[in-house]
Amino acid sequence: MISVSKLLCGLDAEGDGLRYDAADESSKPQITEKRQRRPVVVWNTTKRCNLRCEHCYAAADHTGAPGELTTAEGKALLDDLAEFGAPVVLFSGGEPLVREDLPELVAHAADNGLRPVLSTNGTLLTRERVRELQESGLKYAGISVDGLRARNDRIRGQEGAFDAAVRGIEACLDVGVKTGLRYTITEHNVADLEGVVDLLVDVGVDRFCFYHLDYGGRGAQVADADLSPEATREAVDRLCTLTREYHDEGEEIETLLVGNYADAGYLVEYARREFGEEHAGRVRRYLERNGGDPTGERVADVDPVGNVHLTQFWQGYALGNVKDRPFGEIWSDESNPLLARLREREDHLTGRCQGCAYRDICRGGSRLRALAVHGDPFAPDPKCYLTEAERASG
Amino acid sequence: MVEKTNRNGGECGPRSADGRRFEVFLREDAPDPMRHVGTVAAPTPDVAHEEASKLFGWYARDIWVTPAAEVHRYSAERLGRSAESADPPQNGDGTAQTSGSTEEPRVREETEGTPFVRCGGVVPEDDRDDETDGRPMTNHGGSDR
Repeated sequence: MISVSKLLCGLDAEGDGLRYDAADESSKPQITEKRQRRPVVVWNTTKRCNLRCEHCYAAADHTGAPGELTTAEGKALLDDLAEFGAPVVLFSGGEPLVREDLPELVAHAADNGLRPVLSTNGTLLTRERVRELQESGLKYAGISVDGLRARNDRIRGQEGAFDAAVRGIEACLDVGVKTGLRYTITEHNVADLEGVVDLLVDVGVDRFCFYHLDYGGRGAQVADADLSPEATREAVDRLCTLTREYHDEGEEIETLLVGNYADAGYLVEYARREFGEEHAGRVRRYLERNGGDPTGERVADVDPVGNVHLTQFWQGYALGNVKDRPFGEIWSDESNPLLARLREREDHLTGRCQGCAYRDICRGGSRLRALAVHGDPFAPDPKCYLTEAERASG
Repeated sequence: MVEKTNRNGGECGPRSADGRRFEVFLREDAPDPMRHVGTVAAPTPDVAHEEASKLFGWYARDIWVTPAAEVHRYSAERLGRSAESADPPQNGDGTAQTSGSTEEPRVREETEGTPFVRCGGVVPEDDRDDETDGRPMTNHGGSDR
């Protein structure tokens, strides 16, 4: 996760300590004072969802999966995560709000020192439910909107989903739970990028996370709708411009990019072009501390039946299952040769990554896309959009 | 008897939220033991082998796959409940079950360097002969034979 608003506009945020080891430089309360040593854990609490989005990495459906973790098992998982030192647990799905025990699980996470946050389609959020989650200790709700009304509803497979999600956002804002947008950029919705930000700023949202498409679950089935490298570059450039325009007007929105660490190299190049060498050097140092693509290191995923994945998008392979071993043992077991090699992947990347000057702040980008397209988890990310000259410059 | 480990058993069921999964085992070199390295989602053993090869082909000499849903797991701990603290399963009248239950704690005994564990509450006919060859059998009711 790369903060465009921090790197280009100097915006302080709660995640500065977590992401850049820059808590001392921030005036905002911090999620953690030190850069994370343990992964943020996404827990897909259920496969069940009231929507059926075309790019869903979890391939969620209207029915749950047999063998999903029970309330007791979920609490034991949260105990394991707390003991291991995970800083944040992201309750996700499917749609986590279809689980009636969600407030109980959120409260258990909070009581054990985890920061509970939520990833939801927002359509089931009412003021009452938000209030209940807030009282349980919920700190943040990321709500998925993938375009303006018509495009969003087409992508999400349900008319009215856009209006329901906006009502959910308003419910969070009314109750006082911090909320932000989650937006997966594809050819199907890239045209709406600015429109959605403009609309949601008016509603009161000030945090916007833009995800590049990764090729897991139904995301793999719509890979042909992924942006070309050139179109990706243009979309990132538009987001940079949009962020700067808002900040220039005194509206300090937070904008973040997720899922394609070519963005790291591009932001250094952008800063050099727009602000000069000194600013570019500062951006690069932040990104060195950030650590590049987090697969198998700073992000982990536990699916509805307890399988532990390298990222939430990489559901096709699991390191183990929390029903068999505690999460921390699975995550720390580097006798697994893939896990060990991923954690030293700079030495094993192939092709154009080998000579890339941004290899240290990118670390190869998405290993899942490399696997999906090249059949090799150490091949170059097919969606790297840096030019040959940029890869040579550093 | 030099060691006892209570195990909860019978964990044999869905291990996938996305279709069929296969447990993957690797051997790096001929003298090495097989090593468990997780699971892959795949519809058939051949596809599972293909998927595992993409991930581990650079490392493994041998790759074995087996359907995750067909593995019977007997473990000292289960998520949310350790075998030590687990209440025994109850019969309809509230008394503890002593056999025939997948929830029954297992006892591992080790004698003469040959540990083994039986699963299931009833001693199979074929196994009863084992009692006569000097090797101890797993306890089925919580007390030593």
